[in-house]
Amino acid sequence: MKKGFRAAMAAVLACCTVATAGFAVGCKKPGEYDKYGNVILEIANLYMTDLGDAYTDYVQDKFGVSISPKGYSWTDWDSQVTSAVNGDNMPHVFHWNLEADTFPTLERWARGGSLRALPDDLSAYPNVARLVSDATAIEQMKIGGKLYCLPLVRNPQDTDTVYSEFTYVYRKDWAKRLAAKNPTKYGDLYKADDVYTYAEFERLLTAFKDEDMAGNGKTVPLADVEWSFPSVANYFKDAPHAYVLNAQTGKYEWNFTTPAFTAGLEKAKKYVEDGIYWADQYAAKEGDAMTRYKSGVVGCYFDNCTLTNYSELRKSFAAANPSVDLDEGTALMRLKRDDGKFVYEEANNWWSATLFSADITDAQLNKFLEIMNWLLSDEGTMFSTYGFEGSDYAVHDDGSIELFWSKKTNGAYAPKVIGARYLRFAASLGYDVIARDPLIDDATKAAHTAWKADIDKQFAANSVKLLPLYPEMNWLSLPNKNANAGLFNEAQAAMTRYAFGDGGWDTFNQNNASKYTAVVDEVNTALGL
Amino acid sequence: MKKAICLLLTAVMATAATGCSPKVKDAYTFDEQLHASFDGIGVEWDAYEHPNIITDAKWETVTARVQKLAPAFIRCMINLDWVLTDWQKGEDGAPDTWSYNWEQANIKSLLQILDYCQSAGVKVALGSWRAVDGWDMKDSADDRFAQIFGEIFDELVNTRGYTCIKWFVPTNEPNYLPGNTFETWHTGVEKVYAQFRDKGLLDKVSITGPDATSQTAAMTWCESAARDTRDKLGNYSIHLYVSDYTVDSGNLAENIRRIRETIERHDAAVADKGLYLWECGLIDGKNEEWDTNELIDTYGYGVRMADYTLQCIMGGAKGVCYWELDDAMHFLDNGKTKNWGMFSSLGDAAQQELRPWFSSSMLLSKMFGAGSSVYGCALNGENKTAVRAVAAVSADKTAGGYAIVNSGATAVTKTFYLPETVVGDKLYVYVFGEKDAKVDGDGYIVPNYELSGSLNQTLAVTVPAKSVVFVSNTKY
Repeated sequence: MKKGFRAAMAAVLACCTVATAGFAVGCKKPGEYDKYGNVILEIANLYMTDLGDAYTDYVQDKFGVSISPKGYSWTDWDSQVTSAVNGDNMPHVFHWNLEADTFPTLERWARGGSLRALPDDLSAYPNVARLVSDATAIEQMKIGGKLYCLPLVRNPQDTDTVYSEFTYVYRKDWAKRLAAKNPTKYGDLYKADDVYTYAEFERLLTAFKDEDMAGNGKTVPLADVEWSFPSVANYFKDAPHAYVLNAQTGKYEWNFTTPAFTAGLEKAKKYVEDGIYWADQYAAKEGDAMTRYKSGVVGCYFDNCTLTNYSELRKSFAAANPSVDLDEGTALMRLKRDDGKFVYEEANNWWSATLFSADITDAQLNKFLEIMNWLLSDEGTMFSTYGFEGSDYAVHDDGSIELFWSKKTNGAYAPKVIGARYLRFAASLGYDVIARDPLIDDATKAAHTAWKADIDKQFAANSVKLLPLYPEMNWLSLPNKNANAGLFNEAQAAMTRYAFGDGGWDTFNQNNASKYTAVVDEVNTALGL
Repeated sequence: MKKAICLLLTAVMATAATGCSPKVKDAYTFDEQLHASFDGIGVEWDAYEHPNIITDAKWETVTARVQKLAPAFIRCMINLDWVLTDWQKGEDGAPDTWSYNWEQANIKSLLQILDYCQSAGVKVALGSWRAVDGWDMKDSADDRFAQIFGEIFDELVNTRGYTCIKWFVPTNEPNYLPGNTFETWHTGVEKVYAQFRDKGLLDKVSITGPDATSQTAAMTWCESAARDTRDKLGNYSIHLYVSDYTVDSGNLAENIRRIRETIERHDAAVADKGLYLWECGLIDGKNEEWDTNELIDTYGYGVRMADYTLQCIMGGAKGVCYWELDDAMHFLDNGKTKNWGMFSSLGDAAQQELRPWFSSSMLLSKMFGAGSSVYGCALNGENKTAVRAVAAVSADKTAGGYAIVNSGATAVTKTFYLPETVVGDKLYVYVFGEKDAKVDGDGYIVPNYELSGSLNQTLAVTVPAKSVVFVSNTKY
């Protein structure tokens, strides 16, 4: 009753304002408010469900909104969004996999009138405004000077990190065992600091295989998360995706026929032939490689080692390998190329974006921005991380947090459903919240933090080869480039077939030469190169 | 902790020795009648997805535990493709045809459950999870859905005589079914109602709904149902899985009250029909990936579910049905069970032991039995208290007691008085909490104290932190 009264009064005031402004039409649109005067807000993203939790309820009460949540599934996320846009039945706020390659679609939707732009002036929502201004490639994603999306910033507390957290997790305990078993042959393969040259890395993989570290012939020296094969090419190539800027000519060219990339692909092929790469990598489904690592038979595993992913891997690994020292069983490798540089892929400081239906009203958009602004504030961040102060946690004078969450019979904290986190995902991936997540143990956080600190030192020492994103090229919306956006995925499939002995790589490149040549010609012309 | 229990014992003995209720004005008196005739506590007991794993020995254990739990009712859901067979698409406008396989393994599991309930006097809500299971029947508004359930209920109730079946559940959580709307669900209810009428079932079975889940959906769907479907509904059904905070803060009672009042505005008969929580549980501790509650084997889960139950009763719910009885009823695609049960029929002996919340649920089920008068006290109106107390007296006044839950971090001592006359001169005190609960060799909770005295005397009760104390004139 109280909630309804407050919101109803707000609605009345809003009506008066509109009436004063001289609008003859009614001040509320159908579906804008519920019967209690709360603004109805349909929000869809990968993380939302109708949780019914106290934390979502609190946000709804605090802001006088009635949130209608919808969760997308990973497997058909794009088709769910696309069909909703095409069918003009989008939620007010929805989540989409925006990236440079998909930007032309966003442009088409925006120009076609399906989307609503963010207000030019976000000063009423300073925390949102800061994220927008700090987001990389923000100018490239504007259409007609308007921003038709809110990129999901990875870490609101650290928008300067612009590399992907791709690396190898490896069995340091195996390296230690090798060194102890044969100090002469393997002594240098155990690295207390986890820093390996490429040659040492290669010897380590070979040693894992030769010594059958998992036993019974089960050892898999090297496996990649499915989308990253062949990860070893990262330590040879000069650009992460389909096109590379040739330093000599100053023009973009097809990356996959360059000598650098070819050397990487040939290395991967040799690893397959030598039994270094996981034999089932070719047919692996999503999650299979990680599952193998967790089972304890893989020596090196390449993945996107965000804290969330790394924590998940460690938890499962620990359960399956209770006798292995967890830090050593899941060590994060610092691997150099032959030129002595550590390698990272450049990345935007955001991933994916929130879009707004053209039908969203001023009241609904403003409420959404108000909520996000609060969730991104210190208070909202604490709420999203821990819950209610006093009931779920307390902050002591020294700044330490005392947590009151329920514990399982083994003494560990049980999962807690804090819906505000899922709402906050409409503006940020929440790396800042995850960094303090009580469900991620201190040892995992420490290992991950130490690795990230080492990367910072590598950057500071100019010891990093950053594979560039080329935003000036990647975000271009050009006919041939747009039409051949799928070529990268086709190439990846073809190179996998080639590495596993099916051949056809040269043929693939020859057959598609006209396509990628048209793209690079178009790009170079557009950029005046 | 021992000190707290000693205080309880001393207080009881003192009041008993001085000959009852000398200072009623200082006691919390159970004089606020919440329900003249409460409908009781139930549990989800579904037909087993893999009935072959329930051996005769396991079945014996399951039924022994259900007997001990003594639910007033159960909710039992099935998949339609378990019972339907030989579906033939009609050609050239002819209607589709199908037949029923009552020998199918899952349906035999259903019949086994119905046999138990029929003999034990347990009421059953029976329904299907979804309308669709491999045919082109998209939703519950399909004429064939109504026809099928008319025929199924005709067979089970009229032909086979399962009079224990009291309600039909027309699909689970319709607000979650993709593309479903209230209008679709409403149309389905009307069609099923017509089928039940035609088959002479309406005096035996009623339809329960809307079965919507989450506070928001419960409010909106119940309002629509009470406004548009009230003539066809014999019971109002909602599901709520809530945060610990919602329970600890006492907000749940208010949330239930809002739903009940929303219904009442359109259907005054809700007092008789009853608003039931047909699925209930806690979401803190939920592992999303495994659809499991990692706190399910803690005493904390039991204390909160007891608090949840009392708040439902206080908020106007006439029945509370727990999710769920046995882990072995439901499986994930990877072959693992979803662990929300009061026990698991699978795993080793330790894994099959009763979980703590079986005990608290059993005590609640027996204390707040069907037909009992239920009373609250002024304690419950004290703002945001961590302590709540509700009493029950059986219709024949021979059994009664009260439950006091303390979700706080420290023990509390309160004095209570039940004016409603209950016969008996012995009291059994059960302390449900991690450090105090006592169980017998079968894992069933037993009284911590057996005392001389009457519920109609004042009684000072010390409730340890995060515990529930049950005071009863009956040994459960």
